[in-house]
Amino acid sequence: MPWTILPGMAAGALLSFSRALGEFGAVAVVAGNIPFYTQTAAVYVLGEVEGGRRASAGAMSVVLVTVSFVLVLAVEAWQNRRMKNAV
Amino acid sequence: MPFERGAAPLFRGERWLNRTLIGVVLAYVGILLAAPCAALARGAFAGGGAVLWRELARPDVLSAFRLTLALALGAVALNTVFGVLTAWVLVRHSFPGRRMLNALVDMPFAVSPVVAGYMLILLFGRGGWLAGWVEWSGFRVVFSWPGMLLATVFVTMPFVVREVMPVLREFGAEPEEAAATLGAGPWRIFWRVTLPSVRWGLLYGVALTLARALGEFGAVYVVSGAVQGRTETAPLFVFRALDERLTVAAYGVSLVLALLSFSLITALGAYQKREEEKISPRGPGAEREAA
Repeated sequence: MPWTILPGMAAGALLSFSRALGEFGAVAVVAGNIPFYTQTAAVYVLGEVEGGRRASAGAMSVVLVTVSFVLVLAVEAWQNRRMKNAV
Repeated sequence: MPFERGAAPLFRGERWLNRTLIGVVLAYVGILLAAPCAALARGAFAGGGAVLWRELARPDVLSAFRLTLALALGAVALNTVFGVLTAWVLVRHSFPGRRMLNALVDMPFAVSPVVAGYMLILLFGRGGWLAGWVEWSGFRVVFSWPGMLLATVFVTMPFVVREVMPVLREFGAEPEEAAATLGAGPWRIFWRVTLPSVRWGLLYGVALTLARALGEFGAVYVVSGAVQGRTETAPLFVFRALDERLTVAAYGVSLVLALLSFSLITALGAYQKREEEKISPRGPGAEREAA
C-alpha cells in the first residue's frame, strides 16, 4: 500500500494542530498581546485570568480544551481501528 | 528514540533529487532551530564572557535556577513512578474506560499550558472544589510551589507513559509470566524483569520530562503568579528580564536552559549507542547494512 505513513502523518498533524492551538510562551514573547491583532486564544485566557474575569477565561478555556480533547480522541480512535485492521 | 543508521537513499541514481530533499530539510531545521540558537548564543555573549557570568550570578537568577531544578526533579520523581504504573496498567490490563484513559494521557500535549494552569487555579484557588481541603491542610497550592509542581507534573505527564508503553507491549507478558511460574514474587518480577526491559524507554521518558520541565512556562506562569525571588522559575525570569530589558541575563538564562536540555538528550543518545555497541560490536545498524 502506498499510504502506510498516512495514519502516522494524520496523528502527527492533529497533535501538532492542537499543540499549536494552545501555544503560549513563544507567541507571547514574540508578538506581545495586541487585541484583535497579535492576541491568540491562549494569550487572551491569560489576560482574562489576570484581570479576574472568570467567565470569559473559562469560556475560552472550555473551547480550547474541547477542541484538544476531540482531536486526541480522534487520533486514539483512528489508531485503535488501525491496530484492529492490522491483526 | 533510537537513531536509525545505515539507511539507503530512496531514489538511486537520482542524486540531484536526494540532494534537494536533504537540502530542504537542512534549510528548514536551520532556519527554525539552528539560527535561533545561534542568535541566542550571540545575544548572551554580546557583552563578553565576564558580563554574562556576572548576570548569571544575580541572586534572582540563582534562585530561579534552584526553583526550576527542584520542580523538574520533583516532576521526574512523580512521573517516573506514576508513568511506569500507568503504562503497565494500560498495556497489561483490560478494564472499562481503558481507551478513555489512554486518550486522556495525551491531553497534556494537546491542552494549552495556560489553560492547564487555569484549571489548577479553578480547582485549588478561592471557591475551587478542593479549596476547603487546601485550607484544612494548611498548604498553599496556588501562587506557591505545590501548584507549580502540579503544573509541571501535568505538562510532562505523557512522556514516561508514552516512551514506556511501546517497549512493554513489544516485550510482552511472557517473561513476567515465566518468572512467576519460577516462583518469583510480584515485587521481584518488577525489579528484575519488567524494569530492566523497559529501561531505555524509561530513560528517554525521564530525559524528555526533565527537558520539558526545565522549560515549562505557561502553566507555571499562570499558577505561580511569578513572584520575584519566590515563585519565579528560570523561564519566568527570562520573561520578566525581557520585559525589563535585562537582555544579557535573559539570553544567558535561556542559553543555560537550552544547553541543559540539549546535553541531556545528546548524552543519553551517546550512552545508548555505546551500550548497544557492547551487545553487537558493529552497532545497531550492522545487520541491516549487511543485508
